[in-house]
Amino acid sequence: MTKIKEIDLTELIKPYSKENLWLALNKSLNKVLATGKTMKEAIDNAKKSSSEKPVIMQAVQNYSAYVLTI
Amino acid sequence: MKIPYTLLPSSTPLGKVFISKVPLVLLEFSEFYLNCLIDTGAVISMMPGEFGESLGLEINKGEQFIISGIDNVAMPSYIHEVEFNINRVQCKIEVAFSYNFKFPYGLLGRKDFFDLFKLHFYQKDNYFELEDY
Repeated sequence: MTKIKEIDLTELIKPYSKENLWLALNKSLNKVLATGKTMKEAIDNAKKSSSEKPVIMQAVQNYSAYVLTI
Repeated sequence: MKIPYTLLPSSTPLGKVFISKVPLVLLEFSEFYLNCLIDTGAVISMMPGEFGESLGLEINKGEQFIISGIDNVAMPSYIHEVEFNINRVQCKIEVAFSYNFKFPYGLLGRKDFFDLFKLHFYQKDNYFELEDY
């Protein structure tokens, strides 16, 4: 199998993770288009600052695993 | 389709910091993409209520379920059918939305999603693969 490069978000997220900001990233996942305190705010701010369809996720300091059951 | 793993900061309960290598997938909706984690341990896909609101859903109108995590905390949740694309492949799955579910991205669980694709994980080679049935 051919090894491919991971997408490393660790440095991109770091400046925003203390405040747990929501991020609107570009599709290549290497640039922050906009931020917001809520998901909606990040989407709205991204619409104002870019014509690109944003990738939405929250910046946090610890992305631990989560397991669910019904 | 081959998708690279994503590296994210994590820490243990005792505060030891490490880098998590996680299988994140971009779900394409009309106005944005959502990053979601493939979670083989989750019975159903789950997203924060705010995600559903951004998709234009009236969350409380869905079928109500109580969903619990590994810590057995009960979360009132509402099931909705959600449509999106992954690399131009159209997908339709049931998702449980909960305002008690505070997670930085959505979770793709076994119900429906695992019926759409064969999932292959090649963690050592830094990628995973979604194969159409």
